[in-house]
Amino acid sequence: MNNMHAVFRLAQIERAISNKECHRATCNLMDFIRDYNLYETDFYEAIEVRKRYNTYRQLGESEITDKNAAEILLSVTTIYNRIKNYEYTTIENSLLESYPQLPLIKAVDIEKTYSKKSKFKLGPVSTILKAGQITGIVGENGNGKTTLLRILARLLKYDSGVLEFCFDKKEITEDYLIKHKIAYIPQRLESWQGTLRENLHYAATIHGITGKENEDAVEFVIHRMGLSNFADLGWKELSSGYKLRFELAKMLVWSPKILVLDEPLANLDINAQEWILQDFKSIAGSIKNPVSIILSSQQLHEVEHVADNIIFLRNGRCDYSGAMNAFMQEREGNVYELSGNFSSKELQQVFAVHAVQFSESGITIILRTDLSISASQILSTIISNGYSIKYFRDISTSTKQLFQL
Amino acid sequence: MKKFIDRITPSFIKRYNDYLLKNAPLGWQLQLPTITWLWFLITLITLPLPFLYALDLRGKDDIQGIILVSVLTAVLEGGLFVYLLIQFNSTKSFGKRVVINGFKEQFAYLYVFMLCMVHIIFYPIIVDYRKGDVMSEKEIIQEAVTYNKAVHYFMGDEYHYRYFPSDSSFLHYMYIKKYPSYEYREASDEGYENKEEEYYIEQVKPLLQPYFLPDTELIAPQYTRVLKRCPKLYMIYDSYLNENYSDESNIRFYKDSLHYEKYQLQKKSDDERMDDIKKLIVLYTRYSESYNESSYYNDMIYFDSPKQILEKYKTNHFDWVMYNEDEVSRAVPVKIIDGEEVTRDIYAELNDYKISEVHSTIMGAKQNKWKHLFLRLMVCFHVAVAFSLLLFLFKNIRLKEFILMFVYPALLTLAVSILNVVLFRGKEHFPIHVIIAVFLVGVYFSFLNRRNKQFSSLKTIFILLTNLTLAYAPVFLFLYFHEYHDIGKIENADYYYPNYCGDHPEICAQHEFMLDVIMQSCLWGGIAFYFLIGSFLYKKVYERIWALPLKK
Repeated sequence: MNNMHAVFRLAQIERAISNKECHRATCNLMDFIRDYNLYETDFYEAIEVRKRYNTYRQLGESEITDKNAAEILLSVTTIYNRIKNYEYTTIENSLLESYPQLPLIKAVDIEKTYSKKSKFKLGPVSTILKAGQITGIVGENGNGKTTLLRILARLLKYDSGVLEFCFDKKEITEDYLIKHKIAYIPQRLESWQGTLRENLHYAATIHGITGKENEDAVEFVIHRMGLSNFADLGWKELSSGYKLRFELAKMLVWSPKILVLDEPLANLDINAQEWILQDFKSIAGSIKNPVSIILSSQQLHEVEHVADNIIFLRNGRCDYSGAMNAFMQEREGNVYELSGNFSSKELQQVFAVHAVQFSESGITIILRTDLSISASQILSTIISNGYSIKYFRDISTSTKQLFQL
Repeated sequence: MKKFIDRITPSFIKRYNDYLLKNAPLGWQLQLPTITWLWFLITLITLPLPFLYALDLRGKDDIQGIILVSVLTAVLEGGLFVYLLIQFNSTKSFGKRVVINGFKEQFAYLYVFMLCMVHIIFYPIIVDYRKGDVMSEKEIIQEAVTYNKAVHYFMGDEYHYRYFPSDSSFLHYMYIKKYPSYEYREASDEGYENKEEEYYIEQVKPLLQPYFLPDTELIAPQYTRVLKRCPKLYMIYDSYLNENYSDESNIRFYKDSLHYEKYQLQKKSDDERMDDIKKLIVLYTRYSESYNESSYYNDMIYFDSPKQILEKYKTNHFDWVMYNEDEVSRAVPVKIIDGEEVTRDIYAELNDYKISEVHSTIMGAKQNKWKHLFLRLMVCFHVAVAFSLLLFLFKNIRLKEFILMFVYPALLTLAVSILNVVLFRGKEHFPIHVIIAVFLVGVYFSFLNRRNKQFSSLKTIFILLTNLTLAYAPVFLFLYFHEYHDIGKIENADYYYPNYCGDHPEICAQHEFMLDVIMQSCLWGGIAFYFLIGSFLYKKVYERIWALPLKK
């Protein structure tokens, strides 16, 4: 099939409808319609539904009533039933043809020291950022995450190595043009003047999106990012979560090639983190305007959940840089992290016959086993010995275990 | 602030702003429609001021006052407009580059600052118009003639004769009006002076006859010496000229040979002269009421009778005829202070009334208002250029470098001053060449050294300084070559050919004219070059350096 991507995306919408996930259903619908340049009526209708949904949510995060949810889902279903019958092969082929094949950033052995007196040294770090992929930078505080991000965003000079930028099939060397395509969102967001809507229009216009296109893009982004109720507010009137969402909206409105985020999850609650990460996934996964997202975070598991690539930094040294799903595939054993009404000594007795190692990090216990012992075996053994488990995570393929070393 | 501005902005401007926001980001960023509207509102509010401001007919207090008010208004406006102008910046957001944005931006800033200056330029002219309308030319001529006919009777016992007080500056303005080319001519050497005097006697004096006494021949030529810029009779700064008597040994009995004997005695009867005296007393009285300063004289001025005044004059006793006290008080011209008798100053002087000052002020307002307007326009334009340049730099560079741009030159000036005193004994060539070196280094960093890998604060400051001075650099270079190296100076010719200009006045005049043309071309050409070409070239420079990565 030549329209596999469209079919997959339509299936996502259908699944969200059947799961009665209003937020996901409306977001997926909007993203799909925007990506595939559908009819204007579909576009405006999708915006309208999302706008209504945002209005029902009032403060943004609260859930809506069942009645309102049913109304929204009905509207989404109506649009979905209409658009699923459209023909997508041609448009998808053209979108795939223009999809960036070359890496957007190629960094090889990047090194950086701040001064001769400073003991800190970043690198060498090598990585490749491709369109549509999310790269997470993890590591302890002061290990060079922000430095690396700023180097990749061309905000900071590096001492040695190679850093190449390639946009629209051309290598770009001029700094202004590089930054014209990169959006950088620092951890501490800078304040801005005017209203949120004004800023979005302005961000679009200065990137060459004018007239009707500008109006549509801003209207789309405001509702898509759940900012309908905040569009006419200023910087001081927004919470930190919405400020970040606004920054994302500002980027989304002009579609940068690379989105660089420094600790975007730092000030967000769990729900907001989840929503933002879903949005990252959607922004990166656009077939029309695929974005390469690179972010740093302390929320290791959340980041690993959405990241395609991961870079682990320790004291500025790059311990791992590569695909997330390739991490520790060639490992010698499994690693589990758990806690419950047991101590590590008690667990040692339980697993005495197995070749396991224990270490305790205060709150949780780390179990290292050989590859033959699976997570289900561990769980069943503990439970069968009468213990209860509060927390359990298989970190065999997570960079979390690098923190334990 | 923003909400308040939004509330007072009409919907058609908001609609236009909205259109700009979605179509022309620079236009919206610069907020020109809103700024123009706010300026219009401020102008409406402040416009009555020049119409209501109290006139000062004996000086420029009113003009200075209205200029002060206008400057304060301009400062407030400038603050408000700059606040609106600095809120958004497409360059710092790495927006789409447009080649002529620098040009547009710089012009917009100039436009905004010129708006602020409009009050300073035009409000004083309203005051000048009001002043000029206080008296017509005809009224002034009439008063000048009245004054001239009788003033010599009121001279008191001064040791000098204030001759022909037809020096009412009015005549000066009439003269300028008729012969404007004389206005700024410097009578720098003997040749020019004679020429001007001759010109005055032959050409100008006959035209002034209506304002003098009937026999104009009597005032020439000893009172027509040429001063710089104008004949002596028509003073600018001091309304009166003093001519000492030839014999001061017995001054109280000396005859008024300059005036009375030669003219008045022969031409007028006593009745006519008393009539002249009466008219001048009326004139004095009028000015004492309307144009007085806070002097106690004005409330209680007393005159001898016209007959007494004439008698005193005829006996050639230059005696007081005006008093600050009445006849009873005058009889006892002493008072007791701390048990001691002291003489009181009971005599009033002609100067206390300063009729000519009023004439001068009014005629000044009538004749010079456009000249003053042009002068203010020029000053304000250059101030606006300077502020627009500063704002352009502020908008296009980091705050740190913008501040350092003032700090580093101050430190450099200090260092150069010390070195200059220590090493070069205070000669001027060292500082001048440091300035030129800084400028050239800035040009190099701006346009020639383009392969920077990282942002450099010091290089940026050189660039900023060059940008700041580029518009006026041609003038500086002209002065450098002409004044410092004496290139193109006529004095060089004098070195080989003494008194060259004396022998070739026409060539020297042409030479001066040519130098003036070159100077003006450098000034205006430099500004035009910067605004038309330099601004967008520098915008590109700032886009480039703004995007450079930092070292830390």
